[in-house]
Amino acid sequence: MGPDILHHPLNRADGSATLSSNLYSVLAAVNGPVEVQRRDELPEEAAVEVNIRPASGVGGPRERWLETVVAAVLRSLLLVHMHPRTLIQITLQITKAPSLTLKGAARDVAVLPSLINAAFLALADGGLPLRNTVAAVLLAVASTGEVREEPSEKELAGCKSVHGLAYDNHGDLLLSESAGSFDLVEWERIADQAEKACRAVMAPLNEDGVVTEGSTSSLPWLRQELTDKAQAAIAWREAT
Amino acid sequence: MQADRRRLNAPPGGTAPPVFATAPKTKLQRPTRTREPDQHRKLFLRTGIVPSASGSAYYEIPPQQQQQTGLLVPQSSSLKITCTVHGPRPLPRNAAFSPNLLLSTHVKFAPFATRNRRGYVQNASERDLGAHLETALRGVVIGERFPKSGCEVVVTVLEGEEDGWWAGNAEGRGGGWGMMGVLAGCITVASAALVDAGIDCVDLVSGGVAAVVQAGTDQRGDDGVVAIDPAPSEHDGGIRAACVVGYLQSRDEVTEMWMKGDAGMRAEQLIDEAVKAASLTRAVLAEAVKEAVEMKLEKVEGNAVAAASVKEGKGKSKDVVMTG
Amino acid sequence: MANGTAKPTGLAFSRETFAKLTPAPFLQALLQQPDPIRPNGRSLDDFRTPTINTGSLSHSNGSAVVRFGDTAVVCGVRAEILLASNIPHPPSEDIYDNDVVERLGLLVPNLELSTGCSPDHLPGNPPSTLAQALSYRILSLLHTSNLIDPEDLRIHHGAPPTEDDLPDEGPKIVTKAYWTLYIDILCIALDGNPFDAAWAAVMSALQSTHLPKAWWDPDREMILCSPLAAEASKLRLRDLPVASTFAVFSTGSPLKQRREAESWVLADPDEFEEGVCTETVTAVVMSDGGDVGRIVRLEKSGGGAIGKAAMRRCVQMSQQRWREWQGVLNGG
Repeated sequence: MGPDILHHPLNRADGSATLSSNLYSVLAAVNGPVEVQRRDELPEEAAVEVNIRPASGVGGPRERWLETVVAAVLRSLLLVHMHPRTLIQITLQITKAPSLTLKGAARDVAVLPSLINAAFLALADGGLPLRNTVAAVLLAVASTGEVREEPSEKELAGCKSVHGLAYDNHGDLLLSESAGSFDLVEWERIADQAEKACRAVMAPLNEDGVVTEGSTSSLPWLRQELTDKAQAAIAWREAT
Repeated sequence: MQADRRRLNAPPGGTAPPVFATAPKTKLQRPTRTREPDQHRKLFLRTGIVPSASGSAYYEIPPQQQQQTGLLVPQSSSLKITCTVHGPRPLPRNAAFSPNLLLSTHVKFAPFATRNRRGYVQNASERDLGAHLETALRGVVIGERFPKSGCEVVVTVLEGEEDGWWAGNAEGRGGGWGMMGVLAGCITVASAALVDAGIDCVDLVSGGVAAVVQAGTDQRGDDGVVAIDPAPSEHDGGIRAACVVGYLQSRDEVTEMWMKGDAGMRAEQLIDEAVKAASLTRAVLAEAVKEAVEMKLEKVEGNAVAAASVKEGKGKSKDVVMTG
Repeated sequence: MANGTAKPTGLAFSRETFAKLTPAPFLQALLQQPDPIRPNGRSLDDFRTPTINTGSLSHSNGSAVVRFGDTAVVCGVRAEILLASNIPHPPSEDIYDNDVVERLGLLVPNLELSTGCSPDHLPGNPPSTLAQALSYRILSLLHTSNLIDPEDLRIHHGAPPTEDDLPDEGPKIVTKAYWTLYIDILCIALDGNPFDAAWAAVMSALQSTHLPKAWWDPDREMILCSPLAAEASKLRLRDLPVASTFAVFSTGSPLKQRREAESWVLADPDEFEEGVCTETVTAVVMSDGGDVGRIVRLEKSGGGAIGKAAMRRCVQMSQQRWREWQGVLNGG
């Protein structure tokens, strides 16, 4: 399972990736560290700028809000102190969004995991120094109380609450955006499930490429991606 | 209006303000001026309302008639203005050298300030008010004392005076007489905020407004009466001319004057009355400023006493000193 | 020293200078005390006490002024009429009733920070990213919490029966127009936590909103409203959600061992604290028919210091605050 990933689709960006899940497709491009405008310059760390472009039309307040959320997560992920007085620019173009009009909050939360995952892959592709590995998941609670991981469009439209969470490889919660109607117990159950799911996608493989921990329902696609990338990068050495 | 990408916009169909059906005639009573022509409405002025700014002030003329009309639409108009002053502070690095304090003013009505909803972007009349306010203040501030610095005066009108009586005939509505009252308020409130910010001034500038109003309804030969602080909705005969001044009482100087309409022979009298109105507001202004200073002094003294008494015991836990 | 009298002391700065020069170590020094007191004198869990005034703006259908310490927000609600015939793509009949408000965009909140409320937001510029994000969060929350019954916003008209209709059928009710609520929020003074204050102002303003009685006048082909206050109806709110924001101050850094990091959760942060903290949590709690306080929105981003346990505490504090607020908001 896992989303479809295309590596380095853009030649002129420092790093790029396309990520398509069942709901959204996101094209992410990273440039950095580059020169920063004087008014945005930070004396001790790199400024992080996120630009989000919607699938159709121009961005508005909604995109500005999404940008602040994504930028906050990425800033906690990047080793910004290594490039003071520079800028790391991340552009996220949403290329596919659900056709069915989802309700406001569900629509806002549902796109976040895709944005975070795409941005992370692009950052890794661009070789920017990162503190941790991060994975984000989307969970929806149906009106029956059933929790669905990576829900379909229909499930999302009829759900009681939606939750977008991101965990890093230490199990720290980097992002939690939930909307709908739920209580604390429910949220804790969701957080547990999300952590398990996030750990599963970065779970280590054994020599045969088989999963050794985590659930079997979600393959460690993120680990696989990163391993493939590393192998591709040292391919020249093997060849000689 | 074109959609604003940086704000949340109205539904695509466009909306219209509600149109009220004519109420039973008995209910509609035009507000009338009950005070003497040389009497100012009560006004309220306080400084230091915005702690995050260098200086700030709030100005209010409460509505005149408080009686219950049973109507949704307010009958008499009121005026509520806040002003904040940021500065003096260094000019941005790319700005040219300036031997004086660069004063910039900005006047904006809140969207809910007037009977018709206003936009968020400053319109021509607001910019005009800003320019008038700037000339009024420029003559007061001792700019030479703050070279290479800038100072922003930001005025937000939360509730603006109306141009006429809402239910009256169309001619009473136009004319922009309400703006004159707003400008007088802006001058006074900005003056208070400047003092609160501790910016050196030669004197307190205060705003005053007077108007030639038609006393009776439609008498051709009538010369009208000069009244200070006119509330446009109260004068059913209409306003013929109005004048706003920014006046320095102790130096007897006028820094800003704006006259509008046809005052005829009475232009000079009109200015005199506006100056009189400014003197009346000046009394309130001086009182508010004095009160604020007294409070500040009390606080400083109180702090000194408190600091002395808790030098040893409890104060210690809150005291963090950086050493190095 | 040159005169030889003073014994050499280390460089010592006053409290204010310390705070200005190195805000993070200053805050850390205060919080590391056994009984942590924040620079503003509050304890970690202390929220500022709000004061609310409603109905002070005469040209609004509903208004409120909310003050949280040194943060003050004015909110005015203005109702205008959207004619059903003007809607370009009217939603189909079977649309779920609660979605009408969102589909038609009948709630238009906008938050303005460039009123001179703080030196960082000076007028003359377009709304900052912060202002836009706050406006959108308020809009999204208004939709998620389903506060307003769309029925309250409809203006109906009983059309006289035409010949095609069955004779025994009553007059057909058609929605001729909708009320659109413009919710304008002006930040008058800003000292941190604009979201909680703005949300409280929106709630109080909506609560005090009265919509005039309106009807379709077939002769003039327009909507007319009654100017009588007695005929106006109060806007009903289904619930009263309360937003609580927390900031997290953490000493964690990529240059340090993970286990050495300490973190503190600060309720209702002020401007100084917001400048030092990167991680924030906002929980919005409403009753939703129960008396425990269900969560309608939970937002957290900017760091990894808050785990499940800390989140639980934040939510519990928000629920506690929601209980306290019911009195404040209902009492008006």
